[in-house]
Amino acid sequence: MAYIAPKDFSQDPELLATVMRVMGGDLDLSWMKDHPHPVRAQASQPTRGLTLDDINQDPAYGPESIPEIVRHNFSMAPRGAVLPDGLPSLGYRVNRKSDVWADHGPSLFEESKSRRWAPARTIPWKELDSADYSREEDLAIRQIATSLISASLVAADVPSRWVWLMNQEFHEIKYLLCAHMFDAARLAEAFRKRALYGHGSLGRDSRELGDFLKMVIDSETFPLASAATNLTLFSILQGLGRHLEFVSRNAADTRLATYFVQDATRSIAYGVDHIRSLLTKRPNEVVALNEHLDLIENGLVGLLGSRELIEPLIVLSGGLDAVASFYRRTVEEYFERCASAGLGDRTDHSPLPDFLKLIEGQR
Amino acid sequence: MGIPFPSLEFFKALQQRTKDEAAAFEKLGYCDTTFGIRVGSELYRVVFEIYECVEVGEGGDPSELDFVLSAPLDLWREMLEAIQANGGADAAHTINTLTHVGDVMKVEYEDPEGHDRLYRFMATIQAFLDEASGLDLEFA
Amino acid sequence: MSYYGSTEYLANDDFVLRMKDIRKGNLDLGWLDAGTEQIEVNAASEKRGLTYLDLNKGSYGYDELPEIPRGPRGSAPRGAAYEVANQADLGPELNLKSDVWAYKVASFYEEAVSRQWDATTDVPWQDLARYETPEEVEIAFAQLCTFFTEVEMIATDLPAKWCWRMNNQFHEVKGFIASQAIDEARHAEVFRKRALAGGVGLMRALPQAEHSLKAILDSDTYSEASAFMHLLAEGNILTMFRFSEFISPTPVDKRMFQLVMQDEARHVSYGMQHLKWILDNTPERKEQLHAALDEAENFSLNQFDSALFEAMIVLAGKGTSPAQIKKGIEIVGTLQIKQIEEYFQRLRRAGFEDRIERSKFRDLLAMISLSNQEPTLPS
Repeated sequence: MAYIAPKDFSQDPELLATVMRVMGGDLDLSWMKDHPHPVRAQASQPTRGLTLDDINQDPAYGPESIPEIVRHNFSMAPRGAVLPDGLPSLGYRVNRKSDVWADHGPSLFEESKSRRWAPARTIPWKELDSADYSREEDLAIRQIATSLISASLVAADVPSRWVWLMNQEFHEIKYLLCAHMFDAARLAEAFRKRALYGHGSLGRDSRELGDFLKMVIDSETFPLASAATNLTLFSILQGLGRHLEFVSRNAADTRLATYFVQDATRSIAYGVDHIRSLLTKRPNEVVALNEHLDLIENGLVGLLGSRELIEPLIVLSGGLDAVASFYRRTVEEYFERCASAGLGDRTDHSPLPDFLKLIEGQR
Repeated sequence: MGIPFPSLEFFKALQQRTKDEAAAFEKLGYCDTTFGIRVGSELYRVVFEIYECVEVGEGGDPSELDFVLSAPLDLWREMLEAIQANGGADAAHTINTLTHVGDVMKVEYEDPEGHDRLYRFMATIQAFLDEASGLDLEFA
Repeated sequence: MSYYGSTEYLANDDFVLRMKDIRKGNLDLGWLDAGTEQIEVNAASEKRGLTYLDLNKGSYGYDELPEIPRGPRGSAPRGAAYEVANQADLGPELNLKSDVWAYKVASFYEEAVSRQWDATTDVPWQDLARYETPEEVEIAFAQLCTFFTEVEMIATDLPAKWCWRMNNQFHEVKGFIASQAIDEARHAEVFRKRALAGGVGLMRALPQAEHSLKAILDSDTYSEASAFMHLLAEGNILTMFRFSEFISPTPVDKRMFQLVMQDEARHVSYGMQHLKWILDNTPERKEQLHAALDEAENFSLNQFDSALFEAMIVLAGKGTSPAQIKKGIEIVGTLQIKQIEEYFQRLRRAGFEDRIERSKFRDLLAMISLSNQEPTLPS
């Protein structure tokens, strides 16, 4: 144990006295007066239920009560509770609101719970029994699924790496990141099942994918990690999901890809709002973010050109042109999101446009 | 007499189906988006709130919509006939497939976040259109 | 510092040539012959669907996963082909199966995915206004909900702290831990909502409880943290949830506790099965766990915070009159005995009976002199 109690409480006369007093019926009850912000939150739309936005209406509890730099609470006491003396520090290292905040965070968390699914049953796996894929196509899907298991596991690891370091004042964002962890674990599950269902097998690990994922997870700060994960990684995953749905010829793959796209897009939505919110508050951060993405996108170039990704995509799509077209669209949509988040036009300093020209035969 | 397509009546019939099939739509989760469906030059507005379609309308300003699914009548007809033949879109006629490589159906949008709502709520939007399988349609 | 990869791709001749070659239609297709095992997988039960248990076959299964999976340190999933020297090392810290594994963990994960619920819609919040609760009872309930909001987030932070350090070979555990993170976030959410919907709002945070939470988060190893959190702390909270359902002032609150209870029970079961796995497979770690639980129990003793226990007494007695307080004390005393008894039962089931002799809770039983009371809570 790293944290040791200051005394042996089993031999503590003070604790014993408290137990004997309370259990003897001598109640103090002074705590009953400790409710300085009475509130009766109600659902603004009963069909939607009681949302985080509903309970955030009272300024004593809502996110507007969070200062840009949290200096008053490093414990697990919930935002708006009475903070008595003696609360310990839990050692949080992310204590700046603009490092994590996104106004859409609470509603994205609500959406993630509401749009839940379970791969075991939501996907009609038996439909794969009659899927008319050739051997090469079948193995191509299983190879892509193998890569998507890896990507999903790391996509679960990134929020896991940061959420426990975040101050409890940002609880809505912590909730959302826990949802991202779970969503990603569920995608890893779904793609493992897809790869192994029927006469199944996993494919080959990709060095380029591993390198790209390591770049993403090793991002030095949470804003850098958020941009690399939610904007870059999930934009490519969303594009892949769309393409898998496009090439699908059965209900199981169609549904799996549809849920994949939905989950991936929630991460993107948080990423766009988070980075926009950060840059509104601290515009100078744009330089560090863009420099980071310049380098992360080099990793993405490696992934997009890796044999374990581009070749099965070519097999499934009937040629390189369809893949190049899907890559171009995905990259353009990614750049649009970056611009929308306040990162400006990334096309000039990103390696991605040159890569697109390369596979389009223009370079 | 069947329900004409395209028409406001058609979208009102789909709207009603989201109420009749409330349990199925609730299972898919929240869906909050206002999007457009353009058939040739005719624009229809579809508003989803929470689980169900709460409003449909004709015309409007596309810039106020999250996104617009746009295609000529023939393509919509082909898609709806596939939905009717299969009890829901077959793999070649899902909204995602039609709007992906080749863009036989266009996705128009001004705001990338609005655009992403198509992907966030794809299953609900597909289920909404799949409800046409139970309608008696007459194409213009 | 950030990691920016081993290759600048567009400046790398091999990469550019590869792309040009692919452009010409020359594919390598080596991945078609990955050399991995082919297995036959179907859902054992169509009703249950395709589960991780159905995938437990051959080199992909968890039964064949050795205690020391030598080699994999990157993102490759278990059973995929990979080259030890060619993988990007993600630096996992938990690399032994017994570091994280639990009997039945794949089932726990599937159950967690299947039994997700939504605090926003699955609790009938609109009915809350239909019930009149005495003010002092509502205040006590708000204090209890403040406490639960405060402590539940430890069970998101702790899994998060360790999940990314686990080797990808243990994806069932990573999945379960991720499910726990969202479960507990939802618990914190539901208790916060209840406190803010009842008219009282949040009340006093409890420093004594928080020192316990800090000790959990700061545990030296994942297994020590699991024994403290899953088995001891969540076991206590599970008993408190049962108690709280029992004394809930409204049916809305009963519903809330029924939902959180099922998640908490799953987490406690994982903790028990992880402990059992350790003791069965690496018994040499026993003394380390003893020492950790010595201190964990010490911290737990200090959780006797008067504000919390008084709130529970007011709730159990349904008021503050002397007769109500007397009744409340009887019920809360029974709860405490139950917490300890159930903890001891779990230790026994995990094969850790000798812990009971050493437990500091035996002193607590003596201290409150209630060990001869007949439990009156429903099981």
